[in-house]
Amino acid sequence: MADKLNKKRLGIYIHVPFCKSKCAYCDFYSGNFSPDDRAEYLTVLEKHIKRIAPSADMYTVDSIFLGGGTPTILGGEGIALIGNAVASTFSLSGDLEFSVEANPGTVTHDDLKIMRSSGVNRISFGLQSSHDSELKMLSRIHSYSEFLSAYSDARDAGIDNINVDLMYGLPEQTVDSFAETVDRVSALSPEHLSLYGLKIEDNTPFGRMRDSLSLPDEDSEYEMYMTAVEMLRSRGYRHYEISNYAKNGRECRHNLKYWDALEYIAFGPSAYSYFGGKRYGYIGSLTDYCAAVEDGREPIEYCEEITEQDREAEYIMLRMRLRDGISAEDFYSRFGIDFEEKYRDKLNKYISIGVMVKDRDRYFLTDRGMYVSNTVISDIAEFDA
Amino acid sequence: MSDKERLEHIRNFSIVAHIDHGKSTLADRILEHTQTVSTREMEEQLLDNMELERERGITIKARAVRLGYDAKNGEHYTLNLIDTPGHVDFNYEVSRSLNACDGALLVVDATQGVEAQTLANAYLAIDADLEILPVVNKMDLPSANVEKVRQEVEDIIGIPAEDCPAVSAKTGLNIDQLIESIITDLPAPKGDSEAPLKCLIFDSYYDSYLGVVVYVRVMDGTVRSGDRIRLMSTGMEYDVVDVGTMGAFGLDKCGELRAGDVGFITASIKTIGETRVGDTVTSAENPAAEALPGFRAVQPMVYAGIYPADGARYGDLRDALEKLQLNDAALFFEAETSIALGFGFRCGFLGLLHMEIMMERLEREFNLDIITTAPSVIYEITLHNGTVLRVDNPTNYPAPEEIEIAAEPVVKANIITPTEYVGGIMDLCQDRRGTFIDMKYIDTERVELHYDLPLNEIIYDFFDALKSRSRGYASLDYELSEYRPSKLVKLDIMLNGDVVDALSFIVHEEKAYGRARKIAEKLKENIPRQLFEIPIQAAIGSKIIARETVKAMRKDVLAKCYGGDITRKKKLLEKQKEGKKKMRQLGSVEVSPEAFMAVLKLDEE
Repeated sequence: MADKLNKKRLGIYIHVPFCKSKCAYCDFYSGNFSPDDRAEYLTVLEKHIKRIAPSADMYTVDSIFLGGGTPTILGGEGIALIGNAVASTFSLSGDLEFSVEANPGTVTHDDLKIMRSSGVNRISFGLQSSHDSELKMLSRIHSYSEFLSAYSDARDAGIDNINVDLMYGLPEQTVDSFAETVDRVSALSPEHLSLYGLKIEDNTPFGRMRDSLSLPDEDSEYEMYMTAVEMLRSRGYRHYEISNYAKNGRECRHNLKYWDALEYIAFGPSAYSYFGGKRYGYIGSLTDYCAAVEDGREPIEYCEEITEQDREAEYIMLRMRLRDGISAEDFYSRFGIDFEEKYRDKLNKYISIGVMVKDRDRYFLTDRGMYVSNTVISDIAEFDA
Repeated sequence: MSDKERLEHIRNFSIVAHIDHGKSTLADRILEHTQTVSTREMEEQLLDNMELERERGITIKARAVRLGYDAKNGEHYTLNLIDTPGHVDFNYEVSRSLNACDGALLVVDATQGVEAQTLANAYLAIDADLEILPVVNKMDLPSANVEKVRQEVEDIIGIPAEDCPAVSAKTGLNIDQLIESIITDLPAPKGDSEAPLKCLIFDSYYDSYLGVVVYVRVMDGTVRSGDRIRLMSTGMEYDVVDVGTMGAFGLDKCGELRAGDVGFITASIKTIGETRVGDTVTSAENPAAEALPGFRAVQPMVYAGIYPADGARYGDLRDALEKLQLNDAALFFEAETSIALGFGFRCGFLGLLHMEIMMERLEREFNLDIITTAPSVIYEITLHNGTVLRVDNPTNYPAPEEIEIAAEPVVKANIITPTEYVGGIMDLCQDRRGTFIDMKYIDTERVELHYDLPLNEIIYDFFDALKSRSRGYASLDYELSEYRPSKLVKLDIMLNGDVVDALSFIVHEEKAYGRARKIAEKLKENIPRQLFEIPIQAAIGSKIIARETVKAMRKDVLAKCYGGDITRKKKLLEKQKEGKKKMRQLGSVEVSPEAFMAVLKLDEE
């Protein structure tokens, strides 16, 4: 155990590219594959995990995240299998956070019980809306009442850390209908909420009907955002990242790794890792991914070595998403650079405009500032072109 | 051969026409038929050298070419074809080119008939005492109506056209006959080769090896290599290096040019500013008593600020303008600075077309992104203390309380339009503060309108408005007539409380409100939302006459940024940063070059 304390910490992400059907807004890599494909994928995953694990023998895994797609399509048994594959090859921390994304329409009470007993301790429900009309418009396969029963099943199975994903800025959505969703869901008192503004992606059904969608304008969407920010704050949630809210101490450890620029290793088609000074991504095709792994090759499609300058710029880009922002002291200890001196003019400009606040050595965006963060970050961060 | 016989075998002529009536194609066909250029060798429209000219179908600068022709009478003739610029901005240059000729072909489209520039060019040719030979072109088109067009030429211009050639420059129909007519119907040049030298400069261009190549028509006397010559407007003297003629593919040296000849002179002249079109070249040893009539220095009529979109390219812009000026004495520029736009140049142009051509050449030939300020005319401002200022830049416009009289240039405009559009065009001229002079029916279908119009109304998209109100059929010609006192005001535009000097302009009092509103709206559409609210105000002095607001930006965020999003997001933010670099910082406000340009394109329909 003493050995573990000195080890560096690591997150594991596993992509499960299976969905019963595609939602209208989603451009993640997933598809409706056959049970045989799914079984093969589990075998390949096990192999891949086993092969990569030795390169992380100096690390302790303190978070596992199964995302998708729809991980719960694999059933409790499938998820347990993946959990075991990681547990038997990597060294796990005693306070492991093990999250699984669940579709309220595919997860059963039994699945949840099996998951819990195999170590899963956090469930993230993709709900999106409490209005069935909005769910239908998004092509979600579940209703709000199905979510409610899945939610209570999870609680019953002993999951004491639950996230619910919601969306705003949807076609035809109003500030009131969104406020109602936030009100209803927060009344259930989940430990964590993620509220995502809809982004229309190319190569999605919404992308193809972009021009005919009646989307809320910029000002209404901002009002939705601010309404949620205020309501959730009054109910004891901390707005700790642009789109994320948590009760005290319930921030998602895994996701914080992304924003703290900490290391993580990912598995599965289209999944990205940040490990050993490199960011690399696997090919976005289940067939190609499986073939490569079976072949003993790494299915890498993209890889970049992060330069010192990019490391600094990425840190600014990611940390500025967080309510904690950037501490000049942390910045100095990471990069040996005086943050305040280097960026003084710009920081002062944003403080004077009122989108940034300085508290002791810490600079962070206000609620309003977070919603214009691209403007601020693109101005401050100097990427290695 | 006696000198008289030599002159008998020369014909110096121009081709004049309304735009698109086929002038360049006809020139090509004549070149081909005189075997100056074989069909195989011939590049389409040889006389128009510049790419831009070819695209716009107009000739910007005059060119000349010497042709040889064996006539049916068995004699050999030398034909000098002098091309002319085909636009109102270049009227003076056209008139000088015409003065170098003895005759002109007046080309009229057999389907369109006489147009505004047909008339304007015909009058210029008549003023130059030229024999005019009408030519009806485009006989290959099914809608050609040669008799109607001939009748129009007789009725409107008043020259006989009964038996004039009817040709198709496109197919070559009747071109032989036309060339014969040039010999039989156009006069030979006159002149005395023994008299003191008088050459008319009708064009020049800069060549990096030869220096300035001056195109001349020898009116009297003889000029030879080695002669010492004098330019009569400046008194400057030079030693002639070479003289010769203009072949289809280059210069042919010939040792001497005599009265009646058209050719070139090189004399190690450094800049074309020294060889002004219309000036007289004489002999330094035996000078002519007086210069040829009609010379005047070219005066720009329209001014605008030209700035590089990327401030770092100021030096490139200066180099480019210098290069353009090498071959365009009418282009004027001097350095200026704008608080809003930084370092740039005040440029003077003959007119709007001239300006547009220069802008396009800067962008195309020199790869420069440029920002132009609103074009301005020259105002004559008399102050209470009697001082008279000529103001071509709104920034230098004096405070209202200092002004005794403000005067603006007014032009005589001649518009020809099909009758059905007369109402709309009269409304347009009325709206542009025009004074109606008269209206003449050309025939039952077309009308000629005469207006006095302030030039500053014409330089704001008047052409576009005229075209859109006449579905492209109306044509316009104008010439400067006089300066008239006018109620002018300076309109300032403020962003976030600060005046943007580059957006100020001079406008008639009555038009100020409308234009102020329009500009404020345009700016609102074109200034992206920023982190704070931006008031846009238009003011005359301290009086705000229009106001708009750009609301504060609310949303510029990426909702999700997890593992796979980071690379994408980095690229997105880098792109955003690049985009920002193109923006101009005006005080606290960022404005794109496009916003400046949008303000210049006010469609006031």
